Amino acid sequence: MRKTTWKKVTALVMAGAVSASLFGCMPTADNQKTEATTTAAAGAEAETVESTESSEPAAAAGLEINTTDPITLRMNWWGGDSRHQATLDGIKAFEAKYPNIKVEAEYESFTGHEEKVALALKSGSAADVLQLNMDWVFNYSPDGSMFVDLNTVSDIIDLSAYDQSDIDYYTTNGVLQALPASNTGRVFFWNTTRLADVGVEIPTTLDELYAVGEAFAAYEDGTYYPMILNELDRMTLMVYYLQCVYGKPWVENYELQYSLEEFQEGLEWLSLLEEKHVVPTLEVLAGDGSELVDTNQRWIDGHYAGMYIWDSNLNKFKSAAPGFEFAVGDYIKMGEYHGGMTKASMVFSIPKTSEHPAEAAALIQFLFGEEEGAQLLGDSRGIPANKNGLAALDLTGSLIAEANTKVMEWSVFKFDPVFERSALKNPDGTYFMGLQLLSYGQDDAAGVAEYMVGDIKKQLDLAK
Amino acid sequence: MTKKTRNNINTFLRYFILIAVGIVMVYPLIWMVGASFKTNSEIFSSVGFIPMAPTFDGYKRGFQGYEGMTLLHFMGNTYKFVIPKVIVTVISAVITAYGFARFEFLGKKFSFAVLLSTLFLPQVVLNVPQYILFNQIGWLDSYLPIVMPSLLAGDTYFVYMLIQFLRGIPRELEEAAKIDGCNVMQTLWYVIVPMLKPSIVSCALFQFMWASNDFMGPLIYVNTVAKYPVSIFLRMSMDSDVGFEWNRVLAMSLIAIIPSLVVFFAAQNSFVDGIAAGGVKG
Repeated sequence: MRKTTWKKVTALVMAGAVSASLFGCMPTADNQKTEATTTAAAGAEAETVESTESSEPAAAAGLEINTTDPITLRMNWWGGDSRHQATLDGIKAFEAKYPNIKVEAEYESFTGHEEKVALALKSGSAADVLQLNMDWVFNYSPDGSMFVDLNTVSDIIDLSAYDQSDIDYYTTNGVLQALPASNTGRVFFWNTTRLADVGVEIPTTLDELYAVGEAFAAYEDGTYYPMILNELDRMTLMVYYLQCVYGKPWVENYELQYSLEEFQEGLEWLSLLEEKHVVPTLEVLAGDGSELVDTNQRWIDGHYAGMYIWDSNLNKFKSAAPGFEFAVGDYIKMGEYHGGMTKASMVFSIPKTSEHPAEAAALIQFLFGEEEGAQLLGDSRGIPANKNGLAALDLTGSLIAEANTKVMEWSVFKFDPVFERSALKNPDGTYFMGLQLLSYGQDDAAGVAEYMVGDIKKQLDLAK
Repeated sequence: MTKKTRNNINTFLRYFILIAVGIVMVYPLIWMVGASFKTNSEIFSSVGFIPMAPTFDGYKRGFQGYEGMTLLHFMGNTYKFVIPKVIVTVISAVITAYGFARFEFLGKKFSFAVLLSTLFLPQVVLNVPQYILFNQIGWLDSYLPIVMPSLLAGDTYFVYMLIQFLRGIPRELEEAAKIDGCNVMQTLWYVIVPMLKPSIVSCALFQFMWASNDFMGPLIYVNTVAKYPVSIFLRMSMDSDVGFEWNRVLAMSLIAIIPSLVVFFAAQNSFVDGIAAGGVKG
């Protein structure tokens, strides 16, 4: 009898220990809150430091590139074949310029890349030059303590070749944490063959867009639509619409700038798009059986004639649908202002643990800021954000370059680091849930707006 | 209707259903072979496996590889750690299972409970602490972090499985060996291991398949491209931003699974034995 009770007790204790150990690893709301408040406190402190020091960036530390001793640098990036090859060529040229420096290339696909980089950063074994997603910079280093202040190597990297807005964006507590490789934004992309079949032009105003929708509704059996928008595309387009109407940034200083009523107006507009046959309902999209547009049978055969999509991705969607002509459309005027946001498609940083920051900076400068490196890289990382790098390229005839020019001329706002947080933009995140509720008619715009605004504000608070 | 015709109809129906279901089950594999010769747009627009306009680009481009390293180099890398891992797994799991099944020692129940509790621990939870540990030991960028935990019987599942098998082996055999003068290790080697062989083969096969398919482990521990295993190589060209050629990935996957298939079929008989024995005695 006693023995069995003991057994039970041990079993309970073990089960408890296991579940406790699991719980310890989970980011509970409490943990995150304390984390958030400490970083917020740190941020506040740093702000005062910043204000006393004014916003003058740190001067160059006078580091010199070692051109005599043998040095090994590590560079890490993700990408596909063309980017791997272009970067390897660029590295080869860099090694020819600095014969004492050897660069070890570490590259893979995007899958699992974040886990790898996050682990390496947290344990201090990260590569010397890191390619990062824009928001990781602020996730891993909300106070600017993780990365080398690139102002201190400004005599090696020519910072004047970058747009001041980029430099401001990546400056946290006076520390310039990262530099963008390229900037990207969404454009309207049209299957002009299909538009011509239906007998319409690329729309440039809202009324024209609605008219195109009606023309598509009357075309053939009515299963053709002018645009395909999944949940995330809808969310981004809704922000575009609201910014066109109100001319405000989406988020500023981690505060949502749009009220509940304005958000609801945006949602109602999305429903209007469905009504006017501009976009299919999410139910129709789900019925297509493909989560990705470029693998969607009805994109491939031209049932959907347009997208609102990243300029850097255009070629993928174009080559997915052979036999059709495509064109980048002008931005559709939906109000008095210019809507839409841009972001860096990827940034480069030097972690503080790097033993060779000067040489790492030289590599960044060579690949993105010097003619030879920039030409070797070409547009494998998008259209360069570095002005000197851009000037070194001949991009005539490039669809992406044409689209990127349109984006940069039109856009005034930048993405905030929270907009694409996984809790919001993933298929189980707020945007998907909210917009599905709306499109399936399970909730009205007011209810969905309340739910989505609440979640967005929660994420913004966590990031503060 | 004579009995014979009824029998014939019966057999026909049975075979018809079996073959129909069999084709449905094996079709994805056949499709994969066909798709490795197709272009992207064809892959996503037709379910037939015969390519309309066959292309060998997938195979050609796959064998171009990176920095002069092709598929074969990365397959070699995979087996550089998979084979040692399988060997040490078998050795450590057998010894540990032997200890738990046949010896009484202080804290046995407790250690066994701890062992079993790790069975339910998801690998994700271990990633961070293990990474920090191996980083401090200085094993990063080598295959040691992948092989070493197996040397210390870190694969609880196999230990547990072998203990269950051992329970079915009569102790009288070991007593007889003891009377004949065998010491503990000799008993293990001459008596237990031969009887355990089918289940040992199952362990080795499972570990072989899991380790060859492991993606996250090598990805976080190995940095140098020249040391990447084939599981990472297969994904290296997959850039969802700009798109990629699926036929290439499928072609390379197809070649990469050949060694696993060969090993599986070579050990098939013992493997099925092992699983069946587990079902009866476990």
